[in-house]
Amino acid sequence: MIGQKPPAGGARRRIRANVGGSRRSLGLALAIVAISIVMTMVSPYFFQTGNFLNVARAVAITGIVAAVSTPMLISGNVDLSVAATLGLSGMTAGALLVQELPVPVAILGALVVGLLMGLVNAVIVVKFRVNSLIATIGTAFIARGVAFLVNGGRSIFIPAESYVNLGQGSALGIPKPVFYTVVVFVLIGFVMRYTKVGAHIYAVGSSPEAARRAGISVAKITWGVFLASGFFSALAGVVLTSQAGSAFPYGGQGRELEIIAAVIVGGTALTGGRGSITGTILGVVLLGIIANSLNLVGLPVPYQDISRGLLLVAAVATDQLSGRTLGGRGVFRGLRAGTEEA
Amino acid sequence: MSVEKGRVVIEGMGLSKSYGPIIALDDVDIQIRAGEITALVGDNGAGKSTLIKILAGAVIPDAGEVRVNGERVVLRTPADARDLGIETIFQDLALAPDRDVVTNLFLGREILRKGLAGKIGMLDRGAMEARALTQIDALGVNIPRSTGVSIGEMSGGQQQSVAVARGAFWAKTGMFMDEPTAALGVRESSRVLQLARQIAGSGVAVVLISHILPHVMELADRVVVLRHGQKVAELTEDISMDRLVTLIVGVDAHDPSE
Repeated sequence: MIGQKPPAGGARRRIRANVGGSRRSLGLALAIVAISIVMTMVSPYFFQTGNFLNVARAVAITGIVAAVSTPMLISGNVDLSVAATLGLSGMTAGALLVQELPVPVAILGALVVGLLMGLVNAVIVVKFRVNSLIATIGTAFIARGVAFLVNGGRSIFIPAESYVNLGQGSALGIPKPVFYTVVVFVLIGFVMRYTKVGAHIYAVGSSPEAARRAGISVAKITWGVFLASGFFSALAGVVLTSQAGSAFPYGGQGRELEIIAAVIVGGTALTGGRGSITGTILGVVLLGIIANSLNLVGLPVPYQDISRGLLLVAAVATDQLSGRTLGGRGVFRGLRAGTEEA
Repeated sequence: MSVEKGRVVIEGMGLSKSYGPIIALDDVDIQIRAGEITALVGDNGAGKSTLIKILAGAVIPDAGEVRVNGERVVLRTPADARDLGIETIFQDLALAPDRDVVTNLFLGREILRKGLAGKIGMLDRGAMEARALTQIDALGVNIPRSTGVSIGEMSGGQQQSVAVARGAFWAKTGMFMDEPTAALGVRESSRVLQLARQIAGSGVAVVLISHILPHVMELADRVVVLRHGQKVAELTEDISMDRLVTLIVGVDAHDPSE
């Protein structure tokens, strides 16, 4: 620290705040390294390029959605309709491709569906002042229902080879879905860290009232994060269906909680105002490596859920114990009647 | 730009505001002068905050007009007032607790990079840090200068100093302080009030709302007393505690409204 010496009492707290975010990232990185070391000793299959690519491929789709869920949570909102949007947009692309429409039209159609989901969510949250948690549980049910109606509940085999090529195979030795995920992470990370929009998203999540008084439009920021959430969830739907060669009405089902868990494990506060894309990347990778490790040692899938749950609780408990719970009430805003000012 | 001390820069004429049946402000005239500290005193519900909020664009009056530098203005939002160089310091809720000093000083008014980078909204963090540090040094406020320290981890006095520093940074015309010391200890209060004096010294018109009459007597060049939404007195000299209390509560004073 430069400048004046801080008063003795506050010094320790301040230093902790200073490193709070990066300390979490450091902890996650260490956890990843530790698991990797143990796994290298336990399984001959672990420390191989092919296995790491498997992990990357496995987390690519959820990674895209986790990336866009980070600014969502930082802004003090949550979008639980991301997985349903992913499924619905995938079905949209599939349905358009079956009609032999050109691939760009199918992709555009899927992305438009995603933006529409974002639009509907934003209208409910901004105009009708419904808490985002409740609003997006509602729209998640609706979108999932519509996804099942698209083809009478059946999945769609995708005939267009050029579409499937977008998601299968590798570019520069990296599986294509991973490539897209990296691009999305870089893009969103850039916006959050280096731009005015990012600064405003943090401010709105930290204190909506302070942001408003500073002339920042809380409504505009909320619109923005929901539209982005819909758009990138739809993109994840496109990547998933092109990777799979089919569209499933239940695509992405149940993934929303896994995604939010990864974001929170990465140090983003559910109360808004805090978090980073770096943290989310580490959260996604850590959860991916744990799932992969449990696979390799032959533990069945339910153990992955158990480990995910334990990790999430441990991560949030650490936050509470270290007092990193400042700021606005985030997604809890407006849950109790009469707590929100006009 | 230096404005001569004593010139009227912000003026309210015939300002009235009702909330349902409650008359918060009743035909009040007020003149705020450059380089002066004008204190606004009165009991709870006397209309002090309503008056300040009207002049800061946060409340739209039912009647009356506001002039800034002699020109009639319509303030629909706080942003309108800010564009005219009028800043307001509140007791609380004005800072983003998870963000650092630099981010808070420039909240909503970030400096962007030049050229293409600025067009896509890239922040010029370096320029913001440099200007923030200059401002902090100029005011001599005791806040951690290190970046990356969040506001929420600072003491109440430091937080309020950041809020005042931000106000001073942007206030070209006037700075309104609504009970700026209500949440502070004695030493922290005196530091914030010292800042108010410094800012007035730079030619800005400062308006202070405070319940703490010793502060008012010590600092104010001019005291405006409100009671039941009306202006009952404006004093520039002989400001004694007894006189203020009498005017505020209205006993032993001739008051046509009662």
